[in-house]
Amino acid sequence: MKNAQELRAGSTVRIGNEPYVILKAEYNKSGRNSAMMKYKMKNLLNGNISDSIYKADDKMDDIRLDKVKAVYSYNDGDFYVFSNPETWDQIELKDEDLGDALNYLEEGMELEVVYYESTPVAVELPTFVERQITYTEPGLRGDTSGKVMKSAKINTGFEIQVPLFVEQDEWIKIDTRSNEYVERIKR
Amino acid sequence: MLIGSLDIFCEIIDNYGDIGVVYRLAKEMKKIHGDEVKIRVVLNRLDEFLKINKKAKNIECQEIDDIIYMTEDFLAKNVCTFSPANVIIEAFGCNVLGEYLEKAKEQSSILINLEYLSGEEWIEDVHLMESQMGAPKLKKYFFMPGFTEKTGGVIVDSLFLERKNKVLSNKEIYLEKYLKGLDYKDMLLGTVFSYEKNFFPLVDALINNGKQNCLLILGEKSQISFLELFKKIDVVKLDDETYNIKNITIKFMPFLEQEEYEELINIVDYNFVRGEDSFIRALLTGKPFVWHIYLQEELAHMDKIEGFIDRFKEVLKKEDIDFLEEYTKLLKDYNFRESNSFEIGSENFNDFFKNFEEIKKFSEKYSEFIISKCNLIDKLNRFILKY
Repeated sequence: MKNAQELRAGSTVRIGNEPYVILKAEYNKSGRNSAMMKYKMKNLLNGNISDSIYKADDKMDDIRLDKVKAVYSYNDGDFYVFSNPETWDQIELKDEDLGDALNYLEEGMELEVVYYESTPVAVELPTFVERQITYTEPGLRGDTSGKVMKSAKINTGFEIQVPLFVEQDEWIKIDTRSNEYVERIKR
Repeated sequence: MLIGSLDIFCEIIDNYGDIGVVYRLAKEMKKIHGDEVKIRVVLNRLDEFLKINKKAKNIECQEIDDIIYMTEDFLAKNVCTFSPANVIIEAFGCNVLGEYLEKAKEQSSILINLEYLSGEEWIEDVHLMESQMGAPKLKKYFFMPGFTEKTGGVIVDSLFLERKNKVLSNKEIYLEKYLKGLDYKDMLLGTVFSYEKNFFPLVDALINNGKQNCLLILGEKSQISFLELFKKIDVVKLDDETYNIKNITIKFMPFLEQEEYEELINIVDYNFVRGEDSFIRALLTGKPFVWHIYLQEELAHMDKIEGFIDRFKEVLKKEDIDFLEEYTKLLKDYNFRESNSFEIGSENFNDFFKNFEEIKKFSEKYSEFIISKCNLIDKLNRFILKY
């Protein structure tokens, strides 16, 4: 069992008797409200995609499906194509299978492809990724509290919130579970 | 779907807000459905309930006004003989007893997670969203109270509105009931129900507002706050409960039941309130108010204050209200702190009293909006009945 908050895109859970893969995970919290996890999930038996919400501390029955290491190669228009670095097998997934992974996907990226009964159904991102900021408004170098945030676009086009002191072209570490900025890094 | 029975679960953390909401919800559902619906309320502890309801006793299970109130311990001891209600509400994200929930998955129809109130925009996105449980019958939904039509609204109970009308129609009787012995005529009357605070800025503004003022101080934390202040300024003690500072009479009130508190806030001119339940009652009075929100770590409570202010302005912005910025600044300044303490804050009440009549006019208007568009019990009831 895991807390809902521990699950992220690519995690697989059993709800009732049915297996689901989480495609998108969004964390919300305000004041005394329970922290909440909003998921887009795919039912692995019938392929239905649905939205669902949980308290962050709800216990979820996580299940371990087969996972293989894979490297993202390219998008051919219909499919996102990955390759298994050991067997060089090609693995094809549709965009709806990728969910939150699309926010960070770039050529050569290493991740894990999740299989359900021999069919690839999702990818699981590394917990942390490092990405370069391609655009953000100039910030305040003097502000080091990190509490005041601004929008920043990373090289995949995805936007996240970063502290004011973070500048364009810098590299940052991001927690893919919450899509939150972690720290600046030097590359 | 007809509501045959309703079980409401509440884990009281502290203070009176959580039980206040749940008690109000249970009474109103009873009033709407009468004998057709069996209502049970399960509480983790009774201390706060005993204070707000004089009929309550310190026993594990009791019936008051056709509603059964029981403790979690009592439920746990007797769960094997319980049939879960067909409608279940878990208030404020509390966890329902596991054994009860397993039965409910087989037998009940709807489980509603009734959350805390918030004015933040994202609340609309998750209101009435399903929380899949994989149960054969039971479906769970998140119900998000808020200040817009697309949210769950706030508890607008008819019992409160009836009481408000009754009190306003017989104002003299109620003034005499609560202010006996005070020369309250021609006084600007206000209540203060707060967490720990330095009220010097308020007293200072009252001294300068050109009126005779009367402050009614409710709750231990508010009274302690004033006693702290009295150590630093010249106060004349008139009796054990009454003090005088220049043009201000300050009266410490005894602990009031929920219904008495509602009577009082409807006869005064303005209310300083705290938490969630008394804040909503203040809105419903249509009188000027100042909200002391429950403080959160990392100033998370400021998101709620700002969310509310944004929603408040949305309703009132069509008017050209030049004082609104000053008033909402006061609401923010009053709450902008990391912890409740007696440290002096940056709030300035002078504009509040200077613009008092205008604020009153728009508070009345906002109250009408809340009553007509944001009735939580009406929304909740309709959601269940349509299900």
